[in-house]
Amino acid sequence: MRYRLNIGSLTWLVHRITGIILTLYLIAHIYVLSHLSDPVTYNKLMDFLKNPIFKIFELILFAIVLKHLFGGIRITLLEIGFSTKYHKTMSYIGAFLVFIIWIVGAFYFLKEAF
Amino acid sequence: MDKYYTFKIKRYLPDENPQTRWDEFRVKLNSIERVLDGLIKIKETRDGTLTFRKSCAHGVCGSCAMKISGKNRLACQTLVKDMPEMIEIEPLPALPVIKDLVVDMSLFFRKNDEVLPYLINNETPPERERIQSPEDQHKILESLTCVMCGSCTTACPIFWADKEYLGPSALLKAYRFIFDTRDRAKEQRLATINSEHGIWRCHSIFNCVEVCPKQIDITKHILLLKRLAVKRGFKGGVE
Amino acid sequence: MEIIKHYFDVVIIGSGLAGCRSAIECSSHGTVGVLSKLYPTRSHSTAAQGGIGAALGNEEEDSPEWHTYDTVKGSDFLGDQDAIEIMCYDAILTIIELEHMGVPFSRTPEGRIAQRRFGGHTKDFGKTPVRRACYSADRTGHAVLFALYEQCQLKGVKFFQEFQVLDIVIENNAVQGVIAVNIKDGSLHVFESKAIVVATGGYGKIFKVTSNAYATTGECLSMLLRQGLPLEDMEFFQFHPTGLYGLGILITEGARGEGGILLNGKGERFMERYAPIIKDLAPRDMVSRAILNEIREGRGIDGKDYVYLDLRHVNKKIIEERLPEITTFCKIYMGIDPSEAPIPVIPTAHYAMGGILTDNDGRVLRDVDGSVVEGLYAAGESACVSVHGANRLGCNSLLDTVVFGKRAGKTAISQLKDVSKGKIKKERISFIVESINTIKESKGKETVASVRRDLQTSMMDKCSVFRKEKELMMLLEELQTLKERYKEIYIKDKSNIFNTELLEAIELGHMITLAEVIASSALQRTESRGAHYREDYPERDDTNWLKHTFAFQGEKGIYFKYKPVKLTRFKPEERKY
Repeated sequence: MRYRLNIGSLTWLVHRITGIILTLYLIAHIYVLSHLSDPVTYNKLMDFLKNPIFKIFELILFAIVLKHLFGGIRITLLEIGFSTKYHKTMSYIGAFLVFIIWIVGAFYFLKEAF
Repeated sequence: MDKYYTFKIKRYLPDENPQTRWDEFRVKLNSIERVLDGLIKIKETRDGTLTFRKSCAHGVCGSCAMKISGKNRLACQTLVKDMPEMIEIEPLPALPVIKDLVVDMSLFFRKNDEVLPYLINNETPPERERIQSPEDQHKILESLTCVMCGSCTTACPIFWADKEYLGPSALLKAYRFIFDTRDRAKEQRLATINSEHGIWRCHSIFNCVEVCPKQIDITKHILLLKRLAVKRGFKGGVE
Repeated sequence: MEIIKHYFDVVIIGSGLAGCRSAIECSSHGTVGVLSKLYPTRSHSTAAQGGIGAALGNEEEDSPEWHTYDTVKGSDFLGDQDAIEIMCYDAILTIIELEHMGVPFSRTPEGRIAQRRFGGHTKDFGKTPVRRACYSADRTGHAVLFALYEQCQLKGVKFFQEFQVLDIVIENNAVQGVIAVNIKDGSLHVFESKAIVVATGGYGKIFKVTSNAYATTGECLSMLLRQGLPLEDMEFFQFHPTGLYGLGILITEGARGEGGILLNGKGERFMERYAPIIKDLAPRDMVSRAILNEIREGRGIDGKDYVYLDLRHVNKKIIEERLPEITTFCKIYMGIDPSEAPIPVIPTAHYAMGGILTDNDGRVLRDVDGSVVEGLYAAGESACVSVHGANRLGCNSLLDTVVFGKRAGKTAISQLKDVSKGKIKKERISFIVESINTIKESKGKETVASVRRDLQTSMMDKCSVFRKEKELMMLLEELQTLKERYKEIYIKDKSNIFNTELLEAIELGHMITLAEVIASSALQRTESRGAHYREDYPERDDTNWLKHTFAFQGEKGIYFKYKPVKLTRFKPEERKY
């Protein structure tokens, strides 16, 4: 099915994909936390996760969380009565805020990590 | 001013082999002509088997809805001067194709029927007209304009995935009656749209608003219905 | 070929306002089937914009007597006054009934149905324009059609959508039924019935520039003509003065009702010269002639062939609120905002005053002596009662369809017990199948499109607003040539499924017959009255011509009979505005 994308359907698509990724991440997170019972396996797992590639994954995760957060705020605003005339503006503002916060956050994050 | 346009049309001819193919036609059209005029020119002078629906040719009947260059539109309202030189024309998505650009709209019309699309008021009517303030009439003014062309529901990704979803057009029709102060069947209709395939399947994708040829803000109406349903849920009655 | 049989007490052809209103009336006392070649809400009734007239008196004082007078005068005294009285006095209850059915009329601040001024509607027998047209923004037809169709659904009326009627079977002076093809798969359906209501609308597509939809081809009228039934007053065809230049798309008379005025190339409000009292709200035939006259005498805009409709001085809020549809048309098709620029307009073929001869209760008559065809009824634009006479006033058509649609339905139901069930013979069905196959397999070299285009151009050039004997005679000759060319039509689409090329070929044959009737009727009426204007006989001739024309198709061609107009209250007078 080929159909033209517009800002409304693109926002929804991104929201749906970020939602799925976050759900998968939640499962992975619980898996990691399930190792809290035993200090030896926990430390082994923590050493494994010190690999820099996971830092990159976490940065991406941060962006995904921000995108889903602002997407959710936009939908909530629409549902409580914010005028639908502004749905495109809200998407653009949301994307802009995600970018700014991510850049700032990434800066501190990388400073910490390296 | 005349210009040449290439119409790339997706054909479906159930009697031929192969049944589907893409045809290209070059037509000369001037600046006030529309995609529908181009299709008629092709049918009249190049290929009489090209089949499409048309009636009023000025955007009030909704017969000629089709997918033009990737977006659902009315062929009679799409001026060729606003389109690129190569125009791709396909039938409305997600509905079974009968022939060329004609789709089977019965699924779409059935959804409208499910929301009881008629005024239900069994009280004895007054001698003269029922009184309705202009403000109350304005509440349903936008939803009255719908011509049932099918562009919105066939553009909705939720409908593509779930054919049971009522769709923007049926929900708009439900709105038109629920918010008509003369109607008395609000409970029944709210129960129908409050269901598994009703308003709660709408995720505010806004594809419907993008394509509506009468520029109706359908998502706004669905959001109003959602708020009404929630209020009814909490208060146990209808406003 | 697959043949499927159905039986309904009443079969209604056409799902516009008249068809749906009769269906509602019939559904309570018998089985009803409605056939339409489109999905019902796509019927051309949906395109009606301006309003539906009734002397409700919600905004200013009004009376049905004034409404009757206006309609009689507007018809140039050719309308049957008893029928007009019925329509205008029934109007009030009709509108109220429509509102009860759910039509979303625009409202006054007190909550009553709002009304606007319209062409030719006056108070006090012609003193000043009066607010008589009830409206719903500028989508009145759409609002009323949806409400009527919805009520039909509520009552469980069975609709056969995208079924094209091929034959209306009349035998032994009684209806037997209808033979139709299911456009979607090409199967033949035979509907036997006790009664048939014909509500198929007009035939504007015979002309090149028209406000009518592609489906308005009038084939059912031709089918009845070919079986020996008369068609009444076919020479009267209304040309609406304000159609968008180059497209023919209608700009409602309501625009002038809200204050719009017509300007010529010199910037003058030329209607002041033609109708000093009510100016731009004069009846449509007068305005159309005025516009074409201005253009002929070189006073079109920049000397070209159109004039301007100016709405710039009208309050912006009023345009937004009451004329949103025409604003959209102007913006989309011309790139013009009516509140900022004037709209280029020319007359466009709009409404057929003539049609199938009926009495005041919708019964179809077979001759001037009043003899009926058992079980056959007609209503709406396709019928001629006649309430519109030589010219129709705006907002009277919607009223006509609903009032007489109801009456036809009522009469059909009341007579059901006296009529026997229809039976369609096999020979008739085979005849229809054969004629379709002849067209399908014809090996000529003409195309449907070229014959149709020549028909439309000839009719527009020689039989529109201004008519002359020489041109009409030339037209009749051209029509004979077209008939010959029609036999040589070749169609490429041989499929059974949704074969619109074949259906258009069938429609074209009927359109040529109707064109012949219109041209002959125009030739034989040697006077000018209402919408029929003869340049060689420019005066109205009440002594010889205060009568209706009935066109019959005989062995040797079209012949005519006449019947005097029914005058009850108002004596014919000079038609000045």
